[in-house]
Amino acid sequence: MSTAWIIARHEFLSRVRTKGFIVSTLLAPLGIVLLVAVPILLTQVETPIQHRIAVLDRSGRDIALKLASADSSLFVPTDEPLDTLRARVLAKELTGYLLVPPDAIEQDSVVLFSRGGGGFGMHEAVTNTVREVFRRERLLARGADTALIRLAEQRTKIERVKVTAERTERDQTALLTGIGYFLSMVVYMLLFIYGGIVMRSVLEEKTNRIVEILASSARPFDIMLGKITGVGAVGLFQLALWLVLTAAAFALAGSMLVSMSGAATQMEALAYYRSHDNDIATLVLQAPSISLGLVVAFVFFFLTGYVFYSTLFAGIAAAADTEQDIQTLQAPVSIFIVLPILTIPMIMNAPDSTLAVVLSLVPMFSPILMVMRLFATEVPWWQIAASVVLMLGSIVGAVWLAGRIYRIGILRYGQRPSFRQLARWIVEG
Amino acid sequence: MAFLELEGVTKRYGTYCANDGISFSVERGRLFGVLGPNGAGKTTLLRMITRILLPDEGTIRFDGEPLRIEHQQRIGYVPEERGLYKNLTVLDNLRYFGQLKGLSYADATARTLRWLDRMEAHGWEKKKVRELSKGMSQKVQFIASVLHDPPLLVLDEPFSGLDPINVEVFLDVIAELRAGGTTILFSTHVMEQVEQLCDDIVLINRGRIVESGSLRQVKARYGIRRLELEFEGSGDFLDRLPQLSIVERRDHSVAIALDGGIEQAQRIIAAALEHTMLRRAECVEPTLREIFIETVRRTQSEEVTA
Repeated sequence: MSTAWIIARHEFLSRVRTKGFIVSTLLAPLGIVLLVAVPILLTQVETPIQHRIAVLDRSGRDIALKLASADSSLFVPTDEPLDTLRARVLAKELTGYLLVPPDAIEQDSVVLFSRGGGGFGMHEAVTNTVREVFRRERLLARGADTALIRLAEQRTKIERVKVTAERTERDQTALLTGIGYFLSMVVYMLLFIYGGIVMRSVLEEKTNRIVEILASSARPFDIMLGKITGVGAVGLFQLALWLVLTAAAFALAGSMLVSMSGAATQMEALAYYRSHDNDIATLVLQAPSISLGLVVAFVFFFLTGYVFYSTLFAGIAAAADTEQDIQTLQAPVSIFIVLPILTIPMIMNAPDSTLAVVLSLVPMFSPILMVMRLFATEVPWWQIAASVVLMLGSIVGAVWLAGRIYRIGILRYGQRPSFRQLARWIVEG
Repeated sequence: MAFLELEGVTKRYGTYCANDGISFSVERGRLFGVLGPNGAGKTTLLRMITRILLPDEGTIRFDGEPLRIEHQQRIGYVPEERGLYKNLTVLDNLRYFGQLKGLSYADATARTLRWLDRMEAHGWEKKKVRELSKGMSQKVQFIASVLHDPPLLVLDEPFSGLDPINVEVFLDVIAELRAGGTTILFSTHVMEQVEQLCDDIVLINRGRIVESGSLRQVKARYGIRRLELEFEGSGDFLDRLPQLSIVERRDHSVAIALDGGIEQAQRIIAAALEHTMLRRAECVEPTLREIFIETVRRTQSEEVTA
């Protein structure tokens, strides 16, 4: 059995047994589910604050009655004097009152008196209903008949269909882009979390002088490789657990949604939530179809990104003596993990633009940006192939570079090496 | 054929030469001491012998073959700075290091328990390393180096920081291993231990060997250097003898450095017999400490003049 393998196994086993691993594995899916479920639950259990707007109609066109019939929970016709209305508003019996002046239709304006506040929801409801009623009034005044008005008010449905070679299917671009964004953030976090684990563990072995014991039993390169493999296996294992746990949690949440909406089947519940414009519930009930290719690509870019950055982090930790050294030395590497995040909004908007293509092909950025693009658009095969080749090539480069720094660094103590010295270690090997 | 052979071994860090053309050989089953002041290059030398570092020049032969990575499995090493995983148990630490040396999981476990008993550390296996005292973790570190029964054991300053009781435990185990045929090479700057333990020594200073051979050979090379006398009566006779370089003089004893060899000693003893009641007269070999200090000073002044 090779020493690298023994080291990898030790790293894996000693890490998955820690409390930290178990807790974070269980908590993350719980967090995701809560993030999705809580807003849905809130809309379900919420009893909205009852707003009441009194309507004082001086137009003589029954606008108050028409408003009340359009939204009876909001509008109440009234003929109380203004002072009384004012007092009732101040006494919080009414949210406000709407004054419809005699020439309201001609002037196309009404006045809403309120204490202010009340939230977007109330204002939107008032605005929409008032405009609707007024539009109808204007049309009637010009002699349009009711059937014509109803025709004019019909809303056109837009069904989004995506054209593929094999068949037509519902276009899930928006949803997939959202998932791509979420997953690229996951890659971003995992690169830092697992890169950080490798970095701290190399530093611990160096400062506790364990590395000298290891080096008396294995090649420095094998020590580094074993550690990166072991920690990477922990990351993959955790990712798989998260996937299974999250899927299970969503299945559970889905069945809860079905029962909450009072529907007998998932399809009925889906129709119910669609009609209520509840995107999140729709997402839970109808997971978009994600092809196996996308999953493989995600795992590939996560893994290669991890190997690329964690080897560099291992080299940095080997050159450092203290946490502070690490802070200084890691900056030129970490910046390449942060930079792609800044370009993500642009890539979400135009995933096929030349800039997006170029950025996603840069190996340091691929793990985050390729994942984003793969979900947001149809990436041509040659770009994927080029990215894979570039990624693997840069891993070889990173391993070579970090391996040389690691070999020299782990047995050097004292002054933190300057970047110039690091360059000399690399050149002289 | 020597078990371990070094020839022209050189290691440089930039322009600084840590080891410069080191050559010596260690016979199987011997206890071999690498002596030298701080910064002489002992640790670098030991790291090359354990193949943690590779020499820039020269060759190291282990059991007749050029030293390879595979030979690490037959070498045990205790570095100067102790290193264990603080958050793992003693057993987890030792089992891991044992497996790295090629032992199976079960074998490494069994050997760990056996060695803990032998080092008077029974029942420690479940303790986390962070709970151990310094002496305790030194024992654990030592066990890590012998778990796989290596024919060559390399110890870098093995006794530094040990209390006298633990030193005894270590000395016993080292004696036992040596009786079992293990070749042991260790570095130190504590000369008393070397006199007590070593068969052969090399003395290095500033990366170069300045003295080497068996302990007896080295001492013989420096010859008898000193005469010590104890007497009753007046020491005035000493003042009448010509050109004495007196190292230390008290009322009834004196130590004299001999420049004139054994004849001079005889003349002084004759005078002492004549004028005092002589209780003890001894021609003393230099201690290793004296040889060490003298050699180090000599090589340093040679370097200055050269």
